Amino acid sequence: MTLELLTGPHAMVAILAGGYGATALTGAPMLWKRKPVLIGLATVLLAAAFLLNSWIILERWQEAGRPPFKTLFETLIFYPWCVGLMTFVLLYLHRLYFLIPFSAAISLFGVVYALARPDVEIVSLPPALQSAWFVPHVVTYFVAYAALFISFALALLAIFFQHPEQTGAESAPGQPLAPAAESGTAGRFDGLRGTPFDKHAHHAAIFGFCALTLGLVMGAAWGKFAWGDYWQWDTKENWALVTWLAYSIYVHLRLLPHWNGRRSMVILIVAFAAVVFTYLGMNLLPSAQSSLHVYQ
Amino acid sequence: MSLSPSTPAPAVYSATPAESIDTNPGSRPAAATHPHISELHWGRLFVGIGLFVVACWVVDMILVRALAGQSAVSIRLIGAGVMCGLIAVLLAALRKLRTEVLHAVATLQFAVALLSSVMCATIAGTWILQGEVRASYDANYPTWLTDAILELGLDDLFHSLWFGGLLILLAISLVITIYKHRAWRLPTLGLFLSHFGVITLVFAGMVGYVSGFKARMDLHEGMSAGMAILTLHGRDTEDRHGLGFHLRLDRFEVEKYPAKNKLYLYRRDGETYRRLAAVEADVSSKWQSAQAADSAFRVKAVYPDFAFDTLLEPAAQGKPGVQLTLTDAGVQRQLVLGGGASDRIKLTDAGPAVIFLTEPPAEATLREWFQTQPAAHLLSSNTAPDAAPIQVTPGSMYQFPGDPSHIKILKYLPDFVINDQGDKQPVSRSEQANNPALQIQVTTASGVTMPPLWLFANYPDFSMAPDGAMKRELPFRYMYKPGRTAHRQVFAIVAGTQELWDCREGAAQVKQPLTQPYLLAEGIDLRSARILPSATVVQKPITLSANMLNPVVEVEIRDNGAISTQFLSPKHAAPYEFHDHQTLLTFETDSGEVKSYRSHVTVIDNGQEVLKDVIAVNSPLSYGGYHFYQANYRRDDPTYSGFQVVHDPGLPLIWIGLIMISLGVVYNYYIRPRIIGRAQA
Repeated sequence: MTLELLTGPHAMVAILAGGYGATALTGAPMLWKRKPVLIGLATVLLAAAFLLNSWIILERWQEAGRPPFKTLFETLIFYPWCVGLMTFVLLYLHRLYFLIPFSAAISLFGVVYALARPDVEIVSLPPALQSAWFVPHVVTYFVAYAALFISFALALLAIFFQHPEQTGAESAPGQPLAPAAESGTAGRFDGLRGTPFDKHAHHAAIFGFCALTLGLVMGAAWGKFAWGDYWQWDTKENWALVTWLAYSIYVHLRLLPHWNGRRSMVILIVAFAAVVFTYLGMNLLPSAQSSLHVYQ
Repeated sequence: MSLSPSTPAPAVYSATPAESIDTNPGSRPAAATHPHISELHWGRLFVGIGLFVVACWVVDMILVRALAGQSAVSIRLIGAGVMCGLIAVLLAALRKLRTEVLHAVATLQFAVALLSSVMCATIAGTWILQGEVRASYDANYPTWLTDAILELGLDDLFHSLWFGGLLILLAISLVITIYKHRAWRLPTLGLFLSHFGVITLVFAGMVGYVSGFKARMDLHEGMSAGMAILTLHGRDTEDRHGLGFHLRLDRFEVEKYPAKNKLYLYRRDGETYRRLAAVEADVSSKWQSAQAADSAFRVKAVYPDFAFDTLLEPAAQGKPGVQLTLTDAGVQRQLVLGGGASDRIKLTDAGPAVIFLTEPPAEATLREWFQTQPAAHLLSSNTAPDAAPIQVTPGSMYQFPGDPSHIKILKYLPDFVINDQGDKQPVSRSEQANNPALQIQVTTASGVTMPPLWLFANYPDFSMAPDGAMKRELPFRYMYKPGRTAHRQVFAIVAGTQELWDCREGAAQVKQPLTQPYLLAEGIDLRSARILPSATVVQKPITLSANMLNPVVEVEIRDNGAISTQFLSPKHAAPYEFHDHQTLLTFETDSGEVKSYRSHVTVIDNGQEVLKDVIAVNSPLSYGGYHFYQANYRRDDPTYSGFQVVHDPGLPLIWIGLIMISLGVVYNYYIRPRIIGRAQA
């Protein structure tokens, strides 16, 4: 099967999967021990995978004569690219190296899923998708999903490696989290020492929330021009709204006492489930069969 | 954590990395510094919202039954009024409740509880089918659940009073919050914009729900209409709406993508087949995997307008044959005779025959061609197969040489069939020799007369006894030679002398070498002839033109190691099934997917043509307060175009609300913290 994959029409995608897999394996040890060599290697591997991913998308764009964002297969190739982009931005801004294995892992998952459900042929764009809104709407949403995955990964790290600030007395669940340095885990998980995961998770979530808002607004505007309706209580639209509401609940809830700490990180983890379901879960719903958004 | 309106938003909103976040916001209990913020009981909040939802639902159910004839919109409006009245009365009467409610409604907690409720309701609306006919519910849920869903009105929950009530409650709580915290001031501009945007959206949505409508129009080219059929949730209603002007469809066009001609590989997936791969129908030397063991395929040739050409080719153990090249009304044609195939052919139905012979015909043969030949019945012996067949006629008796038995020919039926009605006797269905049958009776050497037998020319392996039983063994074979009407003209191609004989009235009138052209009939010329002493007839695939009139691909297939050539056609040939019985290869063509539909329309107002425009899927027409959208078309009626007509007075506010929310959110998280950062620096 591997040989077939490597000689078939999706050979490049199979290699990409290998690239992300190698990145994940190389990067995983940095969660235990901060080794500059491994970090450097993982960064280079991720960069190489990202470049290959870019090339695959561009090649598909050129072959199809249209933006390659229509089918599940095409978006499953685009999503890892967005995750890679977000990762490099955060690497540049905040040196969040430990994101690399997480990003590589989700990218690997996406690409492997794509290989399991490849497009048999390049389909044409139906009339409804031939719009200037197509690219901005899809790109905004996938950038949002990428940022929200990163907030999910960072929230996980916050839960496991940050502890409430209070020492001595029993800590209340809503207490804010201290950076990992004060947590007393010296010796283990050296690579993550001193990082305020919750702060970065929050920033990633905020960025994602803004992108979700813009994506939702663009979708409404486009729907009006294409179908005459900015909102049709369509299943995919409803789940996009659910996702937006979930993160809206997050931004409001953490302003309350006792919610700006571990609890808000848990919300970020749970809210990401809404993102996954909105993107991939539509096939589970009978109501989605007649949805205007269903992938072909 | 401070929620007081007098201080700027908390430092957690900062986006700049250098700024340290307040990691200690919870160290002072909020209530101590801000006595009007006390932590509300979550349970009571959700119970309160729940009671509100139930109350809305009860009012809705009562009104739906009490006002059965009214429109859904009116019922909801009245319901909203009833709920407002009830709540007003309740709050006016119970002071303690009033204080608690008015306080709670402006809190973050209440907002979160409300957002959660809306979220859960929306999720419910995706799991429960919405707006479907009863049959759809029955197909997806058990009967008790379907009954419950329909009774509770959960099949259209997004337009229900309680869902709308939740959204209105959200808007009201936002209004109160904005007022209480005086959020319209510059420092909290982002907050104000995003939240007021939500209020605007809810309000505009209500306006659209109450006074907006959707309708549809069906037009054919040349037709104009001024009325639209009102629709509700996608279904036609009884009502019509006059637009106040007319819309005429001048022309409807469908543009398609180029037609696809591809080979598809399918794999059986339970009851259906799933597409595995698609390959362009282009000649290629590269083998494509068929995703089955040692199986692959490649395209050897493509024939857009497929036909078989018959050719003569030399063969080691073949028979003499001739390939004639004719021009028929200017088009070159090949004709093959002999080589194992038929040695004669009629050029046209009533025209001359062409017969191929190795030696010049005898005079008797020449005469025979110009005589009508009656049908002949021939009998051959299966016990002595080398003996020549004898020609028989019904009513006579015959004997094979060396065989002492006698055969009497009793009867002949040209189109044998057993008469199902009545006496179950054999009869002839028609005059045509569709199923020639001969009844014989054998008398053995010892004088015993066997029961009569029916023999069939088309079924030489069977005979039928008088009782109707079919027997497998039989001593004789019956062959039927159909009769022939006399030819008027015969062209004899004589291989031995390399000559063409033009024969009429029983004799050869012209004899000519085959090297010279000769006019055979009107418009049909013999150009040349190629005689092969030992040949065989071969069918060669050709294409008659470059137009896709009968597309066929010639595919070389390796199936579990064995290589073969197959012809695949979308119209005629069945798909090729690989040895695993799971994988199929087909050749499919389609006329092209739709690229766009465009309606060229004219607006006629007060008898004047005021506007000409093109309506396409992402390009609606806006006129007179209505929007016209390209909604559908009919494949079998290219002059038809379907439009959706929308009137939404709340639309401008929708845009304003959406823009406010977008700007507010971005401003709040990205612009304002930079302003603060710069101010602090």
